[in-house]
Amino acid sequence: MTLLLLLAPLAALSQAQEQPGLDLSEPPPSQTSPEKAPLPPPPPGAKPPDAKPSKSRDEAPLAPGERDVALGDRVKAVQLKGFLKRRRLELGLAFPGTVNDAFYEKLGVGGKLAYNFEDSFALAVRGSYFWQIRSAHVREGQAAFSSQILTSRVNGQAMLDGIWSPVYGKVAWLGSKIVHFDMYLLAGLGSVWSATSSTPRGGPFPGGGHAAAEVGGGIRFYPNSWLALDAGVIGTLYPDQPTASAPSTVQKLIVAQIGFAVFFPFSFEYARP
Amino acid sequence: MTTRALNLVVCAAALATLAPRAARGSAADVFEHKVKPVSGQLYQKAGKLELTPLGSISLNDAFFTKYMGGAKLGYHFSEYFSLAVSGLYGTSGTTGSTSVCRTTCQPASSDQLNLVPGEIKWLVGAELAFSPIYGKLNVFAQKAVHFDLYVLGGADLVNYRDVLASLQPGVTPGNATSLGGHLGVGGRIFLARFIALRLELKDVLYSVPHLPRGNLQTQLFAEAGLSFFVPVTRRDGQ
Repeated sequence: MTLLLLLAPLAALSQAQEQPGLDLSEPPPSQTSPEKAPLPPPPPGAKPPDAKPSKSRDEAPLAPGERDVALGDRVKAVQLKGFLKRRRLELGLAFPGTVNDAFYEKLGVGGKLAYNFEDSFALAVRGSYFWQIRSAHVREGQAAFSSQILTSRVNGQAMLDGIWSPVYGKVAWLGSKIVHFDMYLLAGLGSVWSATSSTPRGGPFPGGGHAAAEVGGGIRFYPNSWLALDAGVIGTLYPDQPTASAPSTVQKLIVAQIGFAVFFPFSFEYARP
Repeated sequence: MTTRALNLVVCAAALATLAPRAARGSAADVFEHKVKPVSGQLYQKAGKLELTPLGSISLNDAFFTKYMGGAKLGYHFSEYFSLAVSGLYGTSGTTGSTSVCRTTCQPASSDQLNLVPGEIKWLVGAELAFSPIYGKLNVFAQKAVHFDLYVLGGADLVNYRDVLASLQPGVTPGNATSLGGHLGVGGRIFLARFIALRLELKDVLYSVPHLPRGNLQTQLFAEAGLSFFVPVTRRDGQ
């Protein structure tokens, strides 16, 4: 019996200790909880409370139509953000192609180095190199109109961009796997090198780069903790004078691009208060 | 039972109370006893007809910009696969590339324009679409917007104003029809259970046999339409 008395406090202690980690079960109702406190008697003549059973307190208000889906046993919604970019370095590769020049299409390859100061903001240095493809429309236009089709032959670009990602969401791939995504806008300044850059008519920078500005946007999917798949459209404006006989004009380089980026470090952790 | 045996039983019982409790997986589930938030497909398409009046504009044109209107009728075999037929009819305008500049710039004549391709009159086609992605996002942190994304491909009959091999003043070429195809991507933004905004980008390929070279033409189209799903109710009758 002595041994039993010695062990009793330990047994009580073991009951008090829970499994490591968060117990998210509902706490027992408090005796002093105002919700459980006895209601004061109704004033004379007051309408009695509705006898119909009220909805459970646990049922969160739902948007119209949401209740239908709640009946289905599907994948649970993720409560935390599924991908964090804050304080992570990003190294990306992209494959752009122009969508606004039917005569001289440009295909390229590009790279990007970005640092994410916040989940929603990053600063990126990116560059692209382009190859120009002369389409059949050049010959058709020259034959029909006896014309000389002017083009600014872009060789490459180097830009410094600010990237803002205000929209975050998630998608289901084939109704099962959840993939997170965000949408971004970017804007930046930099330089574009064209065929005229190496001539005396080149731009103000060494090497003849033309000052350029760009805006764009896109969407990125995050299939795992270190990879992003990117698709976007970027429009770059720069002044160029394709031939000496033509006036200098603002050239528009609009590219659609797909690519991917690898994040460093490869994983992330939530910082809990 | 002897006193010694009784003590052993009591000690064993006391030690048993010290044993770690079984993991309470279900109790630690935040969703227990609650309405489970789900990421199921709120707006379902399987087994429904989809009728889409739409408008279309050509992109990246060399000589003619096309403005077309039409409709698409599709049937969703499942949430992921659908088959549709579509028709587009429209008009064209010349692009800035057709300006002929010598001392001054002026629009190209109709005789000159008869030498270049790209003036599409109408298209009819059938396509298969695969929609593996369904998602939602919050707009202004208030309302969840549901959407899906898909890829599509199909065959088309393309009717266009034919081209002349050489400049023939006063001669107007007729229209011609050739077989083509298209590939594209698109998405739906669901506005209600039976209405969705539909956006597509597709590249139409077709041949123009009368061109001396470069017979294969490509034409990029951006389309926007409003989809109506029939029946309105879900498969479970809700």
